[in-house]
Amino acid sequence: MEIMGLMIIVILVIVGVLFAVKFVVLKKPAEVRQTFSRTQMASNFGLALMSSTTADCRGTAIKNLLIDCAEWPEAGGTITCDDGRKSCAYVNATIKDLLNQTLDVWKTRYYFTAGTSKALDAQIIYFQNSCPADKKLPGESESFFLPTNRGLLTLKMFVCE
Amino acid sequence: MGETIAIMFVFFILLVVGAVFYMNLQRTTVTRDIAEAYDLRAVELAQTISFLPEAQCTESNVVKASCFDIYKLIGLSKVAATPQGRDLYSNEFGNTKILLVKVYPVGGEWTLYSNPKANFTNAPVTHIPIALYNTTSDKYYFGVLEVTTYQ
Repeated sequence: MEIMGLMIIVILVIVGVLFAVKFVVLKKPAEVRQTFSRTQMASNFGLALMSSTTADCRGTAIKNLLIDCAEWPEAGGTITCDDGRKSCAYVNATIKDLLNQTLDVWKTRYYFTAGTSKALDAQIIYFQNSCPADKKLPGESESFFLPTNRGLLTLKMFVCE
Repeated sequence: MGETIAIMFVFFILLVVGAVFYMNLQRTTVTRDIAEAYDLRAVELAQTISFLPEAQCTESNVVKASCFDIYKLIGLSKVAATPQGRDLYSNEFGNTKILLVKVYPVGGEWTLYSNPKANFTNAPVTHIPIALYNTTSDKYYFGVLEVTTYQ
């Protein structure tokens, strides 16, 4: 009879432990700072990038180089920078350099696209770091829109979890 | 009689094991809560700094989002370095380091505030990309705000 009582106690203890493990130990920690950082990163990167003035391309804003590149992708853009590069080549190199100095250094997984159509191969800008745009991965994104004569140029910064 | 004592013995052993396990769980929870509180503080700080009126760009009294005025930053870093400025900002920022780096074009770094904790255990850094505005040349640069929260 006592053995039965002991068994019930043991079963109750096991159930209690399982509950504790389920709700306390296996509880996913809240990633407040990480989520905030990703959201802030995506939105601020785009805003700061678009407003930046180029160092050696007649003081043109990156935003205007992107628009020019999107309007004349066949010619590589119409604006010729101080070093002879056209707007598409210049803006590609500048954005790549910026990403290398920031998100790549911080080991942030991201993709950045810019284009007037949704197709990935039609994007005028596409950079990624362990987070390809053709895969649906969890994360935070921010889109920016610039009007061009080829339609709306959409810049998308996606920061993966 | 002997059986009852054995059962009681096993029961108390189980009780002790349960109590130890519960205390360990509580410790884990408290540690996690503390880490979460620090994380929230870091987020709060980053938000406060991003919207500092002392540094924000304005045009005709209209605030520009995610933009700091370079001349205001220079002034702010000088004020924050004085004892009075340090006292004033320590209430707001506590044990943190706020650094602003000009990334594109390369060059320029401003320490807006620095008050590191003596024996810190962890110092997570929050990076916030931000536009820097030079009012004299009317040019915008790409910068990064680095907020180090000492824990």
